[in-house]
Amino acid sequence: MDTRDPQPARWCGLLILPVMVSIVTGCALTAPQKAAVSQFSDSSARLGDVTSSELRAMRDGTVKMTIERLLLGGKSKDPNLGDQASLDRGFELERVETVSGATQALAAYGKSLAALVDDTQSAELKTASNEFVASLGRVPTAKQHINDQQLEAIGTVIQDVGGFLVEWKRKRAVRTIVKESKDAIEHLCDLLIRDFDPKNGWVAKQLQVVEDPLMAEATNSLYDGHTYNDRKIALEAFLLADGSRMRRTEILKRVMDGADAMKKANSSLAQAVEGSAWSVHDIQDFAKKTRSLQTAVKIIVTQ
Amino acid sequence: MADSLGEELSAALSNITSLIIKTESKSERLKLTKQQAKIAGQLQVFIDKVVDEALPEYEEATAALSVANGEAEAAKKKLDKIAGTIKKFADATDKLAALAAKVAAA
Repeated sequence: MDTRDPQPARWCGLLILPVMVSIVTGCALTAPQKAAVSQFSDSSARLGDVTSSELRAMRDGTVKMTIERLLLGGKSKDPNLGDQASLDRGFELERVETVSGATQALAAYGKSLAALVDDTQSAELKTASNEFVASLGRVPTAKQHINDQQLEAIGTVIQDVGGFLVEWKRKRAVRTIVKESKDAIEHLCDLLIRDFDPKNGWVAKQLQVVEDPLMAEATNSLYDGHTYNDRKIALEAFLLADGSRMRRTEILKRVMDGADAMKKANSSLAQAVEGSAWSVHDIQDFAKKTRSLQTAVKIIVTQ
Repeated sequence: MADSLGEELSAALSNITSLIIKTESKSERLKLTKQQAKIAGQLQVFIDKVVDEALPEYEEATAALSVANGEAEAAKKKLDKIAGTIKKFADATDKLAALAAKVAAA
């Protein structure tokens, strides 16, 4: 027969419960940390999504401008320019797919973090996380910045979110994703900074290669046109080239600035989730730059 | 001093577009349109392939484009300079073709 007094065990139980609660609560993301992750993830998703859709628009615009130039001027005046058999010259699927991999990975990174801090259902979280890993796989050089063990670590913490100690698991997942993918995210940002540089990046030059010859043919058609319809056709071509020029001069710089701001904000975020001293300034600056990008796109597209 | 080849090519495309829009002469417009297509074609090659900046042809093409762009800037203000600009761009496109041949052979 057990003759021990049950009272101390009861007291122990009553004491352990608040201690456990305080440990678990302390292991959750704090309100400022959540705010930082939330603002960063929104901006990251915005930068990735807007840039992805702009790339598609640039590819579509290239096809339309090449068609229009061929309609107005006939056969290409230089064999290196796009023609009827290569309407998407310069924005070929493979080239666009690689850059899209980078932009979609940035968006999925943001969506994964947003799902973790916004108490989103685990199915959405897993979709965003899978998209992040898949998009990284479409950028050939990304593998040099994130290895299989790191990707596995991310997958494991995401799978584990839910059930008991959910807040602690969410915090652990945020820290793991930010830490393990930091190099890869910086690399993706560097790729965007390089490719979207309005002065030296390939995207700007590629748009101009298509745009200026169309301007020339449209001018010739406008000056030589005898009817209202001739001039209307020429002016529609101008409108196409002008839309592309607006993208080249206004959007590319904002994408480059956004990617540059994201690099800095990602470093601040890493410090924030580690609990080190961190500044909210870089995260706010990133948010400001991505809003500027989104506003410019809305203005240009609704013109 | 000349900018990089990419910047000079980009400036050349913009300058020629401006001259095509400004000139009243149809023959000048057609000549400029052909030259612009050639320059755009060369820029396309340089986007697709890595160009060795150490090649002497690179420096020659960049310098020739810089001169032509300077002339084009002046022609935008005085349209009677367009004929001279066309000659300068012709010289630049010859040098670009020499560079493109070197790049293609590499």
